[in-house]
Amino acid sequence: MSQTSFRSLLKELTKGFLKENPILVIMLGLCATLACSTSATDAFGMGLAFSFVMLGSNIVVATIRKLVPSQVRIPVFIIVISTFVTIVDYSLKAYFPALSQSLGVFVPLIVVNCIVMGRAEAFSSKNAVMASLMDGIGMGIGFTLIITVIGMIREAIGNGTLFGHQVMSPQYQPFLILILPPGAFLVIGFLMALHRKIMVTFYKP
Amino acid sequence: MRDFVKMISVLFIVCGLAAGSLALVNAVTKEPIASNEKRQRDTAALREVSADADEFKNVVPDRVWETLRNGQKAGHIFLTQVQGYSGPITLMFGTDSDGAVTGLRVLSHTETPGLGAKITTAKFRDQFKNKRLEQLILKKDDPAEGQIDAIAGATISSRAVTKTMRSTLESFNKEKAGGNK
Repeated sequence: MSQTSFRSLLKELTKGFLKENPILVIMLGLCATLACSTSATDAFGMGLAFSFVMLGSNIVVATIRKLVPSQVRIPVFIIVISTFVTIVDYSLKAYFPALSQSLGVFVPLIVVNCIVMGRAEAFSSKNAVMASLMDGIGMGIGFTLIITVIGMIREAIGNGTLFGHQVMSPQYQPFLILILPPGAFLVIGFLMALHRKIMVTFYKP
Repeated sequence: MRDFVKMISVLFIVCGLAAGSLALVNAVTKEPIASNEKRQRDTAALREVSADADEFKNVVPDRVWETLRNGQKAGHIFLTQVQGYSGPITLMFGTDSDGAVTGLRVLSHTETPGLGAKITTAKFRDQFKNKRLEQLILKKDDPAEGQIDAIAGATISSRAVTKTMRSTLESFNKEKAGGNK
């Protein structure tokens, strides 16, 4: 593999971490982010489920991109995505029943998570398999990272625990609103502001 | 026209492949999903009657469980069946390490709706909580020791439940004392 293509692949991989983070920058499909970040464990599980779907759909869409007429591409993407989501849903139910219960309806709802669709349409339908693979991994990591951070903040402040372990002193009165839906918006808002600050400070062209 | 045929055939193939892979996944995960659901149902009952113990060891297969809470022995759970008024009553109940009842749950029964069927109500079941072996008898059968109120109009059902709990505990204690565990 030549030096330039390796570097461009690396760029496709890392852009999802911060520069084009699916939650903080692309801001698509926030519904799952809001709903599944009440605890760090749920958030991490959601992140992994999402990453798998993202990766699978990106690879398949990139592989068949030249065979699919553009008129029917959207239905094909949806079928591909929903197939992967169903695989994840069944596997979670079979092998991680506790996680599947707490994520509930939000695993099937990855189907309509617009980031997956958005990446299929905007990236993997126009790029080669390797680049799409990197894009999928990068988006998956970026999503998992941020949703887990949101989950940790909400769980620690709103419930006094972290991954289920008590971290605040027993006298700590949990700040309940962070576990409730408004808390998700607040935390995401603050993270977006922080992210802007970091980007403006360190990545200014 | 050619485009049209291509569109349809591509969609058809994609759908076919998707359906095929889903059938495969379904075949693989069907068993574990069903057994998870069953285990969860069972565990929910075990948890309820044992006042939230967190580990259950099936000592006598599908009859007696030993319960543990945070690794400490917490008591036992019994599954037993008895002839009620109009059919068998299957019930599950738990005891703590002192032998006092921690909870009762009726798993299945065919008692008369509105009368004997009231053995499933919390009002009837909660009377058993914290009762010891010698108190497990209907008040009308033993006014001195008895602690259990029969359901009005359903003495036979109430007595069946109470008696079988008592006799299950008695035979369990006897076995334990005999050392042939």
